[in-house]
Amino acid sequence: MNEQYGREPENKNEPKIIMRLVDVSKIYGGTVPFKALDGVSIDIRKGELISIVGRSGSGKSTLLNLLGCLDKPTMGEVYIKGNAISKMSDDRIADLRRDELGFVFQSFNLAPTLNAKDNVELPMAIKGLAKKEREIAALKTLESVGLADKAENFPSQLSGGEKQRVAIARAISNKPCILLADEPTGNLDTKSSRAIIENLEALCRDNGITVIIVTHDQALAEEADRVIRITDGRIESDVKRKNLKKVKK
Amino acid sequence: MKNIDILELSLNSLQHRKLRSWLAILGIVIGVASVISLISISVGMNENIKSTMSGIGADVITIGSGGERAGSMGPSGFGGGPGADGRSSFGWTSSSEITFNEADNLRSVQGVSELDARVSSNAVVRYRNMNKSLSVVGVEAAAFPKSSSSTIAKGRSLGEGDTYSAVIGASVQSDTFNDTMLNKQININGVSFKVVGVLNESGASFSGPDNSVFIPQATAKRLFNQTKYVSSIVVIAASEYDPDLVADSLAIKLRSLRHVTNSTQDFTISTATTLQSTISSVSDTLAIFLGAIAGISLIVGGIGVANAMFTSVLEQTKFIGLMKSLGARNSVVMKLFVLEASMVGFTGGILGVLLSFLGSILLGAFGLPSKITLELVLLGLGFSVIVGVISGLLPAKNAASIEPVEALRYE
Repeated sequence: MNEQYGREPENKNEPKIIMRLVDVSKIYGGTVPFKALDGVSIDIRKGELISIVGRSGSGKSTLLNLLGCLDKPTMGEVYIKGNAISKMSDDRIADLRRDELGFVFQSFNLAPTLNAKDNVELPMAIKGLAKKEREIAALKTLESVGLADKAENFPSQLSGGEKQRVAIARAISNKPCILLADEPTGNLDTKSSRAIIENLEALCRDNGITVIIVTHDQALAEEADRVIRITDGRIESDVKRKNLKKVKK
Repeated sequence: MKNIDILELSLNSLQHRKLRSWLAILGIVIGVASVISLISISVGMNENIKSTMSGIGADVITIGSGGERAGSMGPSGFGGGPGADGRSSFGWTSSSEITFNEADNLRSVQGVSELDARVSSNAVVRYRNMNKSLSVVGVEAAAFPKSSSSTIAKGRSLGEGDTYSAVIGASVQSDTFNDTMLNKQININGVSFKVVGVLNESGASFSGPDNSVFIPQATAKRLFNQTKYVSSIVVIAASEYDPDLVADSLAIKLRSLRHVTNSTQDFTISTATTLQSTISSVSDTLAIFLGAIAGISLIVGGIGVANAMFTSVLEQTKFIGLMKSLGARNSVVMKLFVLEASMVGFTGGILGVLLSFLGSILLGAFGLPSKITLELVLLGLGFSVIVGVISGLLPAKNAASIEPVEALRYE
């Protein structure tokens, strides 16, 4: 069932909205301007596990980039925890990414010159945490994704699945409230994909983190509480598959 | 993000791009080593000149004929011989020569302690079977101990009663004839002289007293058939007078004797101070010239660093995107690359300084004076870091301005 966008929940028992897109469009310039997103409005609630599906070029990655404040909309407004992104300075947006958002990329994007532990430490270093504190937290996070024994390994010494688990550990190291994953299983085999899906589900279920996944993976999409289908830059459907979990508001 | 963590990331980046980093560092090393070495040569030359000049004595004033002529090269330290006043080699023909009469008139100028009116010429000096062309200078015996920039090493100075006595420069004995010549006979233009004294080495240049033979003035006048004109005048200022003021008084007196004005003055008069400032200005110009040449190589080194940094930014575009997606502010990204460039500059500076010390030793071995001062080291290091920072600024600014989504897409 589609939600009524841009409105606070009528049901007070529903988790609160932490992210809202209001009539957002994104047009890429060039000789022939291309409208990647066209008047998209979405409310995202705390603790939701959302999959965004659609064909290649439908605008789902653009949507994820806007949700992650990696890009700015041409029109419309993105609100995170009630704050309009367009009114924020670059530094404030960077702080928001650091404190509230976590990213998992299809191509992992691990720093090749840093080992697994240092990669996980990176967001905490950006936050300004002390070295000792970071080390303890990074090892603990790596342990939570089953990679405690690979802490000293460099990305080149890890399998695809392991790399993605390091990327997940890195994404959650600053305890974000929203995790954005762009095709997290896109470069993985079935077994590794399964492990990643379980990791993401556990994050959502156990930690109350809102997880938004852009995926082609049907298995992964079916695990989501809510599936948003994008076609030609517009929301074709927005379906809740399960009841939202009860999480703290 | 803490600066120490940014520094660690920059170091990590440099370590993983060793070859490129070292090539960029090499550019700075060469630049800094060139700057320090070339400037150290001029500093060394300056020191050398100063130490040589200190032998001349601050109270010595030299007068030579001619307006802006070589007479300004100075007294016996530089001009004990005829080459020093640039005249003898060309004969005694000029009407602008200073006469013995004029020289005698200068003795009464206030502040003049001693006056040595010299006659000099190149002459064939024969010792045993060897004939050598040397500078022979006729000096006034009373003034000579003070007007000479060298002291007596062996024997004695010339005395008032001497006629065919000679005092020889250190090199005449040790190099030219290579014999112990004290109390031996030498022959100048066919006239026999007894060597009564040998001077200490002055260290002055080729035309200094080391290569000259000094004989009594009266004898020299006859020997060179020169009774009217002096070759040069060396005046010793009295200790209670300022040599520069005495020089001014001498100039006024000589102008009035020769009926010339300040603008038509046909003689030169110089003191240790004027000599020093002339030489200093020459060596300062040399320092600027050498520094400019070296500066060019440092700029080329800086362009090398900038190139390496631009490449580094390109190579790390995805990492920049990652850092930004993880919440790094633009200033952090900027610092990351500026620090990387400064480290290249600083490392290059340190190695450049070490190389310049090595170069200084090598230059010394080839007889080129060079001196590396603390100021030069600091200048080299400061310059290298500044070049590094400036070279890194633009690439860093570019890196910081990349949109995270674009940087992440970069392949």
